[in-house]
Amino acid sequence: MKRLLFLSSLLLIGVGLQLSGGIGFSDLGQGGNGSQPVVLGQTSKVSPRESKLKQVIQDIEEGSVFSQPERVYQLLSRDLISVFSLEELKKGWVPVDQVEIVREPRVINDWAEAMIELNSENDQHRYLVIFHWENGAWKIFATEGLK
Amino acid sequence: MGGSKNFLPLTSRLTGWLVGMILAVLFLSYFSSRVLASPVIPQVRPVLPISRDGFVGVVWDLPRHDAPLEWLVQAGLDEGFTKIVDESGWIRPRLGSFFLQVPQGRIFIRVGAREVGGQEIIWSEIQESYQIDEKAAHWVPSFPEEVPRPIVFIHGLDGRPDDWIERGYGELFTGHGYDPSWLWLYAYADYDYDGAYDADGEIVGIARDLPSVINQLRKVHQKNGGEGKVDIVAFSLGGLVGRTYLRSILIDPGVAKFVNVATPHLGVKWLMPWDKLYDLPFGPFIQKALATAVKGFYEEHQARPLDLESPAVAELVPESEFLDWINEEAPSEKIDYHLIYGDLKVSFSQTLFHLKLLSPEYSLGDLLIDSRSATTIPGVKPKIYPYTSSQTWRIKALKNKAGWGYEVELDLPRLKYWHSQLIRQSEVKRKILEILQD
Repeated sequence: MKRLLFLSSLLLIGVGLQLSGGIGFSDLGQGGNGSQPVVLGQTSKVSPRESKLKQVIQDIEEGSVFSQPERVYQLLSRDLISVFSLEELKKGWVPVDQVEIVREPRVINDWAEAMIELNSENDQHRYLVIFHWENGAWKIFATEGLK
Repeated sequence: MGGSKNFLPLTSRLTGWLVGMILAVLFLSYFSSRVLASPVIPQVRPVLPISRDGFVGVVWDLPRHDAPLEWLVQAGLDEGFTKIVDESGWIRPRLGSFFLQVPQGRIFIRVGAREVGGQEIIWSEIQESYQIDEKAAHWVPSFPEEVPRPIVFIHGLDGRPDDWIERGYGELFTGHGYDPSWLWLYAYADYDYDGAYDADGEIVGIARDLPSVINQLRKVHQKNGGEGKVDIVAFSLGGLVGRTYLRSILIDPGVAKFVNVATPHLGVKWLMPWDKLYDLPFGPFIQKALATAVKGFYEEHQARPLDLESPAVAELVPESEFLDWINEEAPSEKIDYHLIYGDLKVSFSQTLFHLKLLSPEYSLGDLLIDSRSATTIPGVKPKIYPYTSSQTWRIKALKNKAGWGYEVELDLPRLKYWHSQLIRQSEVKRKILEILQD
C-alpha cells in the first residue's frame, strides 16, 4: 500500500511538472514578486508576448524597422508619440545599414530590454533598447547609448 | 625760526577769511528770508456738489505768510493752460474760494499766488481736472492724477504681510510719491504670542477685515482730494481674497484698479492627482515624471511649507464650492482688472538611438498655476500681462522597482517666472507701478 502511495505521488509530481512547462510571458505579465527575468530561447514554451517580442526583434535585426522612420515611429510607446511628432523623427533621420542583436531581450513583467548595435556608413553604436508592453504590443519606451 | 615768522600772518589771513564767510552766509540767509521769500504753494480743493448752471467752485488753502498774497484762479482746456476758458483775475479773498464759468467737457483748474505787487507767480502743484457729466449737466471730478490712490497689498497663501517690504515694494512706491501710510499691507490674521501666523483658514474668513480697511483708506483718499478709491495689488491666493471682498460688496466697492499676480481664479491643478496636472496630451509616464519634477522643485524652493489639509488649500482645488461661488457672478465692470502671470514655454528633448528629438513648446503656466486659471475672471475682460520664458527640459529613462519610468530634468538656472519668483522680478514690479500710475 505504501509503495502504491509513493508511486502515485511520483506520478502526480511528474504530471504537474509536465503541465507547468516553464515560466511563460503571460505569467510574468500578471506581475507578482516572484517574477523572474526570462531570456528568450531558454524557455520551453513560447507565450503570445514572447512570440510578439521575437517578431519585433527579428524585424529590427533584418533592418526592416530601420528602413523608414515611419516604421520606427510605429514602434514607439504612446508616451513618446504623445510628445514627439513623426516629422521630428524624420528631421534627423540617418539610414542604418546593418542591425545586430548583441544581447537577446530580457523580459520582466511589462518590460523587456535588448542590446542592439546599429551600423551606418561611418558609425557604429550600441544601444540598450527598453520595450514596454502596451495594448497587446511591444513598444520602444526608451533607448540608452552604450559605450 | 624763519618759518615761524611767516606762519602767524597766514593764520591771521585764514581767520579773516573764515569770519568773512560766516558773515556772508548770515547776511544771505537774512536777505533771502526777508526779500526772496516765495509764497507758499497753494493747494486746490474741489467743492462738491458744484452748481448745475455751468460754474465750478474752487477752494484752496490760504496759507499764513508774512507778506500779503494775491491769487489767480484759471480754468483751461489743457494741462498746459494754453487755452484759458475763464480766470478770476488777481484777487485777495478772505476765504480761498472762487467760481469759474466753464464749458462742458474736461477742464483743468490751477491756482497761482504772488506777493502783492510782486512779479513772481507760484502755481499750484496740483492741477485739478474735472469732467462734466453731459446727461445730468452737473460736475463730477475726474481722477485727480496727482493724488495717488492708496494701495492694499494682499499676499499669497504661504506669505506674510511684510513680504511686500522684503521684496522692495515699499521702497518702489514711496520712491514714486506714495505716502507710506497709504500702502496697506493686509494681514490674513493676527500673529499670536509665539509669532505664529494662522493664515490658512477659509478664504471668506481671511477677507473679513478687508471692507473696514478699504473703507478707512477711501476716506483718507477723499480727505486728501482723491475720489475716494483704492487700488488692490494681490499675489496668488491674495487675488481670491480681494475677489471675495468684491463679491460681497453689492454697491460700490471703491476699488479703481485690481491687479493680480499669479492668482488661480479657476483653481490650482497642482493640488489634483498628478495625471490631471496639466491640460497636456502627454502619456502617463511623462505626465508622472513631469508632476514629480515640478512638485519636487516647488516643495524644495517654496519659502514655507504648505499645509495641504488646510481649508484655504481645499478651496483652491478646481471646482471647489468656494471657486464655484466666486465665479458664478461677474464682479463689477467699473473696476480695471489687470492680470499678471508667468508662462513657461517648455520643449522636451529625448535621445532615441542616434536621434535627438525635440518636442513643440507646451505652456506650463508658472509651474503652479496654469495660464488659463491665471487669466480668467468669468464675466470680465481683464488686461493680461504674460511673463514668458522658453526652456528645454530633458526626458530621460530611469529604472525603478516597477520596471522603467521617465525623469524630467528641469533647466533650473534659467527658471525665472515660476510662481513664487514672479512677484520678485524687477520687471514685474515696474509693470505694477506702471499700471497703477497709468
